[in-house]
Amino acid sequence: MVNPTDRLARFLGTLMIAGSLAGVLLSLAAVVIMVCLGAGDYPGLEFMVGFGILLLGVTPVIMLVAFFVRAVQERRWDTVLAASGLFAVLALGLFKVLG
Amino acid sequence: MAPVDLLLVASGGLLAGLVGALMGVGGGIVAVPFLNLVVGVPIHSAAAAGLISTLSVSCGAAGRYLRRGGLVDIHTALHLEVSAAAGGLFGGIAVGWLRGPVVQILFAVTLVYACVHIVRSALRPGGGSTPGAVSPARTLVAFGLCLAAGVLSGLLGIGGGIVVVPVLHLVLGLPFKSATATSNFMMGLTAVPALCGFVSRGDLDLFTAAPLAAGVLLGASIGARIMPRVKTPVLKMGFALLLAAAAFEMARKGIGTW
Repeated sequence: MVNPTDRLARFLGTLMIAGSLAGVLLSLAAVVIMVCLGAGDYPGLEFMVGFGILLLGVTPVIMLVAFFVRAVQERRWDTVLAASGLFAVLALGLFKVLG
Repeated sequence: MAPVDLLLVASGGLLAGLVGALMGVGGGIVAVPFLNLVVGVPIHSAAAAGLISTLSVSCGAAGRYLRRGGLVDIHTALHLEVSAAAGGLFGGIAVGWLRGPVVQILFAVTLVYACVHIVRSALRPGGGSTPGAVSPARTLVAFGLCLAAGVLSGLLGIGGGIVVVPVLHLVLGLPFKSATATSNFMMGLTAVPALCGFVSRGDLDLFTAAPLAAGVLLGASIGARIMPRVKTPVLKMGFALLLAAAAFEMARKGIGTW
């Protein structure tokens, strides 16, 4: 029998593979189309490249959120604390990008 | 970007992913020197692209390990990752304070360390871990080394597995396969804050990063499939020589443009 934590890990594993593949393929497809079209401005395609890379970057963060929620439900406060520390570092990084 | 450049970057990524998977190192250690020395991408942009490829490989590999179950020590990873991510954020910001030649020389030193790491793993596969209770002193050492690995990752655009895997295996006593899987899981979470510094300076060239990441992801997947059929000790020695040559060239370029 699969326990809930294992099920979550399997689901997140699938999510990470899907997120990385989708992000990389989306951005690559947009770059290839732009190269084929030649010189010019393609805001839609440029957005696609950025969105693909953003998807790739967000994938591990989604996984972290899921583990955080699971740790709260299981009252594993040391893991909650560690994940909160990671969120603080990520928030500082986001602040750096936006600031 | 011209079609030839796109193909060159993607094939470089493919090579980096393939070799990285066969040698047990991340793609960044090959991809960053390739971009800088062969394609001529400035070192800061090459490092940012290296982090994107690290992110894609980490997500793909950690996803597979999570689905298989029992290999990733999530508890240890999340605790150590706090220091690794903080190091990554600092490294990604600090690299902006350093001139290109300084980063190139730092990278050359890291390549020499990677050479030694690969030669040692070829001569003594697996190494010797120390299972059992982990003392507070060892835990502190692990945190310190993960912080250093994070800084290195942020500075040079590599995954930091060459530091994190030995820490997990030798210092914390995790089995080698579990150490590799846990390190892969951690790399992605280190790369995200490290990238923030590069993005804020505008060093991330998406049009270089996208084909590189796709190439590395495909190469790593092929490498993982053919690894059982390849005689790795001989290959590792050859790869160590290649890395030594790249280290020499990078140091020469760095000193030349000082």
